[in-house]
Amino acid sequence: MTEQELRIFIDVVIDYFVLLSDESARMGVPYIQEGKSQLLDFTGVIGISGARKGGIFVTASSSMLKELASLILESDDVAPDEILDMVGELTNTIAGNVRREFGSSFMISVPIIVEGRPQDLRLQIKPPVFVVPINWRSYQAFLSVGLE
Amino acid sequence: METSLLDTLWILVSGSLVFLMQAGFALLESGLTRSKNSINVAIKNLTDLGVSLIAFWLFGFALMFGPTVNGLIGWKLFALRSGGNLWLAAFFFFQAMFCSTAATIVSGAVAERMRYSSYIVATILLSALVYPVFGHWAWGGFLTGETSGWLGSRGFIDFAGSTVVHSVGGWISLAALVIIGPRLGRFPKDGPARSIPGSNIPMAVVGVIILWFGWFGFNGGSTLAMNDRVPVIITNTALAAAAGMVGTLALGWPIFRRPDISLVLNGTLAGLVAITAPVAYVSELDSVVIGLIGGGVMLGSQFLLERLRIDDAVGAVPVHLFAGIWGTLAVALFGDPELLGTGLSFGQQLLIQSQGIVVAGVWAFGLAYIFLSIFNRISPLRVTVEHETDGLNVAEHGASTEIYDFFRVLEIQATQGDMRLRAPEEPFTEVGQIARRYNQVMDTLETNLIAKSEYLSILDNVSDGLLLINENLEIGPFFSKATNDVLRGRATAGGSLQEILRHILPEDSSSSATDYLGLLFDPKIENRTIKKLNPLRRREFFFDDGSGNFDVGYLEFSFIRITKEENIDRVMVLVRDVTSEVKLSTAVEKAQQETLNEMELFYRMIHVDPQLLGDFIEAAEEHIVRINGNLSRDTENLLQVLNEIGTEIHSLKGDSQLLELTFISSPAEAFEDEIQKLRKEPGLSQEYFVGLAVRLSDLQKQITITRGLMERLASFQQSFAAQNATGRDLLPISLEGLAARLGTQLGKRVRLDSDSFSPTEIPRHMRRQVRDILVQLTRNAVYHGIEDPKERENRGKIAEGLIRISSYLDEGRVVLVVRDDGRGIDARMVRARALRDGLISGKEKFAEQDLVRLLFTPGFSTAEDNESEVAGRGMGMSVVRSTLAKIGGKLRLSSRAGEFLEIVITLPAIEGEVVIV
Repeated sequence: MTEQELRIFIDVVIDYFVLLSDESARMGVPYIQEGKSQLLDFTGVIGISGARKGGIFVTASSSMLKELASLILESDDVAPDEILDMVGELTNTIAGNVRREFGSSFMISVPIIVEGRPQDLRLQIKPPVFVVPINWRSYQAFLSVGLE
Repeated sequence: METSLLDTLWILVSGSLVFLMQAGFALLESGLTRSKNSINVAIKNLTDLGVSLIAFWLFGFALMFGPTVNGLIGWKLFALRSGGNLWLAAFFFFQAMFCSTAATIVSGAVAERMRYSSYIVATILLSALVYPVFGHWAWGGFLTGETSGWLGSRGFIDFAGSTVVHSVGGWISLAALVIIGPRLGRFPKDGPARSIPGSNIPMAVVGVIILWFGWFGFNGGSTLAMNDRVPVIITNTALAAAAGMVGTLALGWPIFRRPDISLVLNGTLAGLVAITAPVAYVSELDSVVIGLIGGGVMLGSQFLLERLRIDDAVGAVPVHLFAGIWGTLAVALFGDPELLGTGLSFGQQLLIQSQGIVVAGVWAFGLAYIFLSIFNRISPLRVTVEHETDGLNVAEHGASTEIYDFFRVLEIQATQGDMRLRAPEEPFTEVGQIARRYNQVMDTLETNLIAKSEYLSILDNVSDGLLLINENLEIGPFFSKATNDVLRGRATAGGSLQEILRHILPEDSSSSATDYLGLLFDPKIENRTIKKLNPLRRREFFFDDGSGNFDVGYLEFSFIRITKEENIDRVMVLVRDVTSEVKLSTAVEKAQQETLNEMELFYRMIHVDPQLLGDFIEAAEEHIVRINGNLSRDTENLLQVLNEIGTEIHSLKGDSQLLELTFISSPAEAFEDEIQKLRKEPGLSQEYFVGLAVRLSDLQKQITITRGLMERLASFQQSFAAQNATGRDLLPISLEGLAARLGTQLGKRVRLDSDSFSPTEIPRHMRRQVRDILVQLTRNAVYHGIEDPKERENRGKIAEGLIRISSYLDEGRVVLVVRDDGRGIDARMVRARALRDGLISGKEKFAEQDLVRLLFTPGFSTAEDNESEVAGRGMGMSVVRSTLAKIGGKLRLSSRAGEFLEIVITLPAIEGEVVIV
């Protein structure tokens, strides 16, 4: 994967937060994933194929998503299914932007949402997988990207 | 009683006309019933004629017209023998016809479900008992011109038998109907009554006309003499029939909202039945009124029966029973008392008429109901459901009709699906012609079905996707089973191929595929061009499996146009899954390419000692892990991260240079360059590390490849080394090579002397670290220490610089000495650099020893700005320091500017702390 490609993914995710909250998210230092993907409470998974093959995970804690959701809904009372909607929305937007950024020779899968830390996540991105911490307010989410 | 020959003749003629009514009944009843029963109904009509005649001859006549026993029953004259008595014979004939008429009424009512044998029994009951006994009560004594029956004696008048013949027949019909129940489907449980259509209405119409004609004899002959009343009777009969029809139409048309067939047919008959009793005693106008009301009574009673869910197949009960009752009452209501001649008042006459009606009902209905109920238990009156469904023609008589045979074929085809059956083609009949056409249609259909089933079996078994698309790119109703294996279940009849492709191809490819599919139906584009342009000939398709994964397959599409009348009607699409084929060839290609690449790397690695290479890879992997660990540390002190990964990468670079592994040292150098650049970046932030992460991953990949190769190379080299062992350790040789190579790069002449160096003395667990240290020190000596030849000559030194590495044991500790005869350490220069880099302010007073410590700070270098692979990044001494710290060694440095630099490293016997002296 090239530096430019990795930057596209990072920008898409960072842009999402700017769009959502008018508060910029900051990326942490990217590193290479060792072993299995580390998943937080909710994970959006997007497969990529076509000219290049791979996928991305965006994983976040429920407290972070709750705060994001309450920001959108303008209410402190956020139901669990609204959090799930929030992850769906996040993943869809990111998938849409990835699709737009990567152009027409790429296939972007229908994004799926995983709750918890399932043992048998079907999409295992082939290494090397880059992990980029995304810091927003006091929370940290992780973007994992792997492209052959 | 005196009778003339003319009277006899009239009676015979009239009897013959009544006989003809049998034909009328047969036509009417079989016309009003369904074809499958028409033969049965007609046969019953003929049968009841014969059976009733015999029964009446044997018993009925005697009971009816024999000399009376108290007005209740006739006796004698059983099995009548006329003995040349003309009148007796003619009278019998006339009355026998009446009896048959009464009998035949029943056949219509119970049509389509009463068993033939049961019907014969009912006919015998009627002809031999019910009819003659009641007949005696009304008409007893008529043979001799007297009135001897108890009803007749009381003044009950029924001229031609509205009650005696028609109501009695009607009552018996009603009893039978109550017992046997309605025909199948006539009164559905959850819905209104369904009318069951007749099979031949024109025939029924002819039947009614014949009946009407016969009725002239029925009523006209009942004078039992050819007298002056006959013409009026016949006229009244005709008028009442007409009025009955008109009355029924006038009433029924608005109700049914159409001139229903039954209105015309049964209205006429109702008029005839109604006038039968009073015909001889009323005027023409009365007859019309009686006929009109008779029609109304019939219509009303028809609704009543339907309401009571009593199914009368031809309307016999409304016509014969109810219109008969009306006619009997009309005698009192309209009859001319003089002509009646009973001497009764109107009220008395009406009463006796009513009595007669009630008595007829009680007798005929009661007896018939009791008898038939008992008989029904012994032998069912009704046919089985199967027989009723099949029709009584076949079930009872084995008599088939063309339409029935035709129907049977259709039925078998419908129930069994046997399309090979063909309908019988009777020549010269309408049904036969229909059957022939039907068979032709079936032939064509069967051919098509066979063709279709063959086509479908091909589609089921062919291993490729095979489908047809129309101009709208929609998939046809039939496509091969394998289509959905190939297209992963995405094909549906009527679904769009374009839509499928849109989901399994990237946007650019799917839009060019769509353009191409459009061309398939453009007649201007030649087939050859179509074939040539095909963008889907063999390519990669992507099937999103819904779990974020793409199942990647290689498919081969080919398109064949199907033309019809010179237009492109459909396009046949063949899809083949060539995934395994393509994957195999790709794997072969990839393996070939990898082999080539590996060979290249092999050449570069083959000279390296497997032990050294193994150590290198192990160290390199640790460097990578540590770099990655630093990256993932989640700290804000990014400069520190840079320094630490810089130390690691510098060491990695040095190691790879030592082994001349340029495919690692070059990217490592680029990595280091980037770190240097970032160090100077004023607004250093996490974003700047993206490139480093990618470089790290590239480097990791190279090292992984190298490990794979190394493992293969090791086994090769071990066997090779065994044969070519020189006895010398490879480290000194490598260091000599490194010094010479670096020197050449810098335009210096350098020789490394390692004769006094004995690597075997170094404890095994420290070898890697010692190698790292020696590499860094050698590099520093070549770069910083040894001057270029010209400078050396100016200083009075020989052109070739010397680095000497030696080792010895001191109290069990290994001491390593690296000494070069270069320029040594110039304290002024170190100070100048430290000032430049801001490490010192220039005001502090530093001892030389303190200045020397600066040399071990990461990033501090005395080199000029032209950094190279060899040195100048200020990392070398930092690496030495950190490596020594790990193993707990000591370092002592001594130097004289312009003459030498000597570094003495004392390795620990046991672990200890590093001391820099």
